[in-house]
Amino acid sequence: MIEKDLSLIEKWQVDFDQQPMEVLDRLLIGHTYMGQLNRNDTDEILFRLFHMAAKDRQATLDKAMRNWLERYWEDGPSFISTSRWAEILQNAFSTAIRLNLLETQVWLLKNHTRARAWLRGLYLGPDRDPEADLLRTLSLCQRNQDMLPLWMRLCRMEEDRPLHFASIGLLGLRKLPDENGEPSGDLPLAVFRGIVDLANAIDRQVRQKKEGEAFWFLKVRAMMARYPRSSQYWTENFLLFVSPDSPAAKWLGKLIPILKKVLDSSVTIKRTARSSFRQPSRDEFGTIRELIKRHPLKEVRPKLDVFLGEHKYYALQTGDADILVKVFCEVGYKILRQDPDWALVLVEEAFIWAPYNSIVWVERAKIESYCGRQTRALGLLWEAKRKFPEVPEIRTNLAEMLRKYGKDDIAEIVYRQAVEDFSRDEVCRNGLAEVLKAQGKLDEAEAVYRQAVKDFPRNEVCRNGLAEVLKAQGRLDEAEAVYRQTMKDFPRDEVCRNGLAVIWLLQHKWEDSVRLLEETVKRFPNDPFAKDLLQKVKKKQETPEVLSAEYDKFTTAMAEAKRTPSRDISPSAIASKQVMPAQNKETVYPLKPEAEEEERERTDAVIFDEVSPVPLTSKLPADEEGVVETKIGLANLYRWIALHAEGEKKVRYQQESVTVCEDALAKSPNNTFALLEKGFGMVDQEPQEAETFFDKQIINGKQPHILGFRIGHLQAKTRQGKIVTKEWKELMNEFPSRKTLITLENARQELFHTNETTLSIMEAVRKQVVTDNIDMLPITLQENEKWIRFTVEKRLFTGIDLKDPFTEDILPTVLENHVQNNLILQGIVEQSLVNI
Amino acid sequence: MAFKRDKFNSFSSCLKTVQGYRYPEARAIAENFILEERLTEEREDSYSKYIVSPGNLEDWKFWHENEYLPNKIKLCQGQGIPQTFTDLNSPNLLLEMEQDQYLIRVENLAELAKLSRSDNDIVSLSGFFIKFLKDPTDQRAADVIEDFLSDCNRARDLRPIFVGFWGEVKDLLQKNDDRWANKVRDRFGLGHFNPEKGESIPVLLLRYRVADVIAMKPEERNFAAIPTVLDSSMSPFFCPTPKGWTEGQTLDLRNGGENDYAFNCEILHRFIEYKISHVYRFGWITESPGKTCEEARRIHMKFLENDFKYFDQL
Repeated sequence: MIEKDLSLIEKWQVDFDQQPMEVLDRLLIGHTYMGQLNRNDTDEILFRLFHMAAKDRQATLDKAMRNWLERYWEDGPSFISTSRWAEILQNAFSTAIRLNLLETQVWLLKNHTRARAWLRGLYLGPDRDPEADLLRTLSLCQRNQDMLPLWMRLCRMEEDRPLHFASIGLLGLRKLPDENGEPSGDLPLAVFRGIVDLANAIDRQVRQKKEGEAFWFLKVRAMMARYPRSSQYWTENFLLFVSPDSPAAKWLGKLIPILKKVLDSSVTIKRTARSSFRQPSRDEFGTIRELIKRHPLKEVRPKLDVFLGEHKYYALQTGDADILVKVFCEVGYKILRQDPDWALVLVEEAFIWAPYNSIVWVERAKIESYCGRQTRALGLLWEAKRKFPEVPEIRTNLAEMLRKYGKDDIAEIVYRQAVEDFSRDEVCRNGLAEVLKAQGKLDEAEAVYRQAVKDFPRNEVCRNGLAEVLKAQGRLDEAEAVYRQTMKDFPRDEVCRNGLAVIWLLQHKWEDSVRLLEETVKRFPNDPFAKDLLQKVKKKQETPEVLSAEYDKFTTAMAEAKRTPSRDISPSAIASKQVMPAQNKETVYPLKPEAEEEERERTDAVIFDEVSPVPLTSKLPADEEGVVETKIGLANLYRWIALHAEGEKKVRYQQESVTVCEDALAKSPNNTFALLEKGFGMVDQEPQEAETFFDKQIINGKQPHILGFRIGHLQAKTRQGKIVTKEWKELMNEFPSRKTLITLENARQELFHTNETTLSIMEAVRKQVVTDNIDMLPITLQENEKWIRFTVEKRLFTGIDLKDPFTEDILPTVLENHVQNNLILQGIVEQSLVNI
Repeated sequence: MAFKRDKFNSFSSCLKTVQGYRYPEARAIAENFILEERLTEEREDSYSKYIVSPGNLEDWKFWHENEYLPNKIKLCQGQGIPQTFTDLNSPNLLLEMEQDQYLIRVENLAELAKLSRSDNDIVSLSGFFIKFLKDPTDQRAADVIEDFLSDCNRARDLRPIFVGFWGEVKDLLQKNDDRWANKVRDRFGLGHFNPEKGESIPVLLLRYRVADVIAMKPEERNFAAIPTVLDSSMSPFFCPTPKGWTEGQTLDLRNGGENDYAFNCEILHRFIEYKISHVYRFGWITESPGKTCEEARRIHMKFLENDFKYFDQL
């Protein structure tokens, strides 16, 4: 056919055959006029043109679409607005489903993880939400059960996303293939779990509970209509997951009367094999643990495979992975030395199920580090620090890893910030003292330890640490006195006994030292160091200085063991560990002798055994990811230390912060967290420019849903003396689950410019702090909320009774507290704004 | 002629260029802009801010789709009012209309399924619509449809909605005619619903009263308007309305010549949440329009040539 006789659409098809990707690109981005079809959305146009096309033409489109997505993935064209780009992506994703573009689908399945954060940044509302469109696409083209954890998280509303994400979660579960990748043929069991979890999650919501409930009923009714089944079927499947007093039981009871009766125990039903499905026994874990400890991995592998397989099967069937996460991390750790690659696979599996579990992040980082992937390991911990600012264990692990890689100076700042953020955490305090000591700053280390001894009278680690600092200063008599007192106060602590024995050696009191060591060996037969030291002392082959040096190495190991978080990673254990009140602190980290022994064993495995690096596994993401997170983390850290420094040091850190932040933005120009860090830095320095900067992010960048940008904007305006009372209120209404954070920041800004509204704002903060509604927040925000409330109570309202409404007389105390603790509160707010 | 002021010389020259294209469906776009006489100067100014000196139809379409429409017409929920229903468009606003009368909206079900982010199983979905329409007491079908429409409503933006009046097509719908979808498409000039090269198009016909539209946001006075060239994506099946007319007129795509040609009203109204009670018919568009776009436009223009002020500039 001669080209001039072609219609516009036929011409497009000819062009497409010649340059598929370029021609498709022009169509998708709206640069092609499609004549009579033009009014349709692009996916409809492509459907019209290709659904009856020959297979090779469809394959060409498939390839072109895949390449097109690859071209713009995580980096959309700057000349197209966010709103329009969201629409374009929606049409591209829809095409992949409507025309069953297999290559594109597989590519999306493989490349969705990191892109979600990018797409989330493009969110403008449920009607412009490319992340939701991608997830919907993925739910409809699943090839295996890999995405089950994600669907479960969406149903549990763990990600604090709008309701329509829960809808996609349920869709994903419904469309979950069986273990062979085939359509399941029935509703997967996980659907029932998802529905139950969704009901319970909605019931916990602060706002929109009614809307949520209506949404849940719509979804469940529609699902029951799509799958005609008997009441018996629904009842026995839901019974597997629903507990009698839960909101899910109440709601399901309205739809399935028999279920209600069974839950009320007025009726029993006959169980089928499917409904008798039970989770694997927990008791078996102890046996497996012993097996790994006593036998080479090769020997126990078959049993281990079966054991882990049972957990995985249960999780895949039900979506319930709480135990899997614990077991996989634990086993991963145990097998690390023998098979680091497998250990990483296990921990990554746990991570897929529980990305909001801070300790899984630490475990991953440790394994990456063990395998020699320093950048990746540090990147993970920096990212974890940003995501979980309320978890002190992340800080200590990050600092210790920095130390391991010879970055004591940065570790020191990490510890300093942690000490400020967690004033009641002795592990952070001791860590700071140790890193100071390691840098030869002995006077500062001594001061930190002395304060720790005062603040934590029931903590023996800081006593021993103090004694060691004194020893390093050559003040042996004082060290001896500290150790003697510790022995008295902590009769079950062998560390101080060994320390004292070494001091006596250095003081040439050989007999006293031998006597003490003999007694220690008798009382603590499992203490390898005392036994070893005793033998050496008796042989008199080594000088006291050499023996002392060996002891130094041992104490470092002990300090690390104490800094290693306990390994119970169940959600409840994590929650209990992160509770801040000082009076509970001693019961938070119970260190039984056998636990200590185990900790030491672990420490030996990870910290002191230097192994040659294992080659990179191909499935790891590029190290670039770690680099950007590291730079963002450093920018925050340098800015923090600059706020606390003066003179030349202040200027230097300010510049460092700006430099690393710009580096991060050079690598990832639209990175929300780097932009926030940059903006917060500007508020301190140039509020007017900061206002413009945040305004640009909110308006031009169309990201009004990023709370950090909004608060930064108000901070900048307040600093210039502008009145923004109304805007704060609007913000609280818009972000109800972050009300405490917003109220606190409003109060903080108010205190800069005290006026007659201060009392009412302080009262608003008080109310937020004392309101018992933490359980109603999305689960991912609860620990952060506790941290903020605890800090407000201890830093802003110290010495003030919070039971009754505030009166004018509290204001002077609040003002004084604010002067003293303003930087701490600022840190809490800013860190909590980037934990998304 | 729209955009005839001196400051739009560059844009006018683009219109002239496109007017000279050999593709009739491309020329139609330029012709529509030339004939359009219902735009206020403020609206023209607003449009020109987004259309940066296009040299050809592709560039023009790019700015129209990617800049003007997302910023002024296809707004996200909660982010303002489409320009169509603002005072910038005051000459075209329809403020008084009998609220009891029924409006008719044709939706492509596959596109709604995309918006709802639900299953892509149109066959199953259409089955539920058919069941419900046959027996509105069928609770299972109603449950699925309510859920589907709820998801759709959440994910639809605020773009103006093209509708016709039930009174003008009820003759097609009251008979037991399984070709009704093709006929309604032709009456309303919805030529972009063309299954010429393959599968039939599943369409949902929604019927609701003017009062239902108003009830969505009673506090907002502007709820309906006569469509102009700026209110939607470019389409050769759209034709602007002369100033003297009181409502938009669709192209008549029914088979036939000048003697059979008929006008049907079309208007735009603001966002409405679709409800199950609005579901009126489900069907499939199985045939191409009864006449070509070019032919329909030729006849349409012939009838309106004396009414269009700038007809001589075509």
